[in-house]
Amino acid sequence: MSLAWATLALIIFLLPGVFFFIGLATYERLSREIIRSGVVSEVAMASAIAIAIAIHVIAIVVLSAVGFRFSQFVEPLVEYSRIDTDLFVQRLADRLMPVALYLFITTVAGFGLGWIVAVNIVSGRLRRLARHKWIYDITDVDRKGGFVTAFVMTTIIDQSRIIMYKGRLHDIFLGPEGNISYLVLRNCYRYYMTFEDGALTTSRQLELFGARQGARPANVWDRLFIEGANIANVLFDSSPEIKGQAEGKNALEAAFEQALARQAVQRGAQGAAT
Amino acid sequence: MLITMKNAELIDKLVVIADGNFDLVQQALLACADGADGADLTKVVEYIEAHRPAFAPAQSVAAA
Repeated sequence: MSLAWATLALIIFLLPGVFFFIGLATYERLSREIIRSGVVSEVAMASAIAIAIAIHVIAIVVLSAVGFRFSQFVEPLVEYSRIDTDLFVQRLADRLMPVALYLFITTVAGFGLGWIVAVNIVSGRLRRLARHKWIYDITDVDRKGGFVTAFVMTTIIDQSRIIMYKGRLHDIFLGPEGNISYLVLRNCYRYYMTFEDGALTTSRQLELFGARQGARPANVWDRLFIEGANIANVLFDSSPEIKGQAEGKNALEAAFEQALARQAVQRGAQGAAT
Repeated sequence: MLITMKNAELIDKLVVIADGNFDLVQQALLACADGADGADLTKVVEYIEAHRPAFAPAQSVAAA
């Protein structure tokens, strides 16, 4: 019996700490990866216990300030071996609702605290907690409505020419050590860099689909997959944040529909000409 | 760890409005950016429509 009570008490005690990590993991994928790599570690377990203690202490201090006395609340239950079973059940039933309410509030507090920490890791204030900090700059641009252009220098060299690609970053897969396993780009251009007279120069950027790229229908897509082993380095270039998205939605949709209609007419005219 | 850009739909539409000219979209954002506040979407759309080549789909020749 006492073993069951101890287990129950331990679970109740740890709930805020456990939900802190759940809150941390719900904000976005990167936070989940932090948890996945750390939740089984001793540090994470120690953190969960420390957070649980902190939340319980704060909760009890707040309750004490409004007249609650923990000893008076628990003492009648401790006497369970000396009192009648019906009386014990009655005392237990009387305390179920307050206990459930306490658990709910402390668990929500743990979840909320975890969520706030995750937001601050991603937005920069607690970035030092992250292992690979640079990737958050990229996700932050995306979150704010911008995009990131990647200039990829490949390891493919022909004489003094190095094949390069430019495109809008769509997917990036990071390995456990923070290395790029692969990149997926959209709206791609190809060009090359040369060594000439000790200077690096780049050629004209050409669309991968040539002159047809702009004439492709809007409902088709392109992706350029670049294996990490073929990447020498990448320059990530962020765009400005796009604001006023709610206000500009109508203008965007109207221009988009007009563009689709105009491009359909153009394709029809080009088809008739050929 | 796979990270996918979530903002793709908006940029896709801007690229379509620019007749597939991604450079023009980049140029529009930079031109419409107002300091640290970013670029207003309505102005970006207007810029693209004003600077889009008249008929033929654009070909990029921008320098790196």
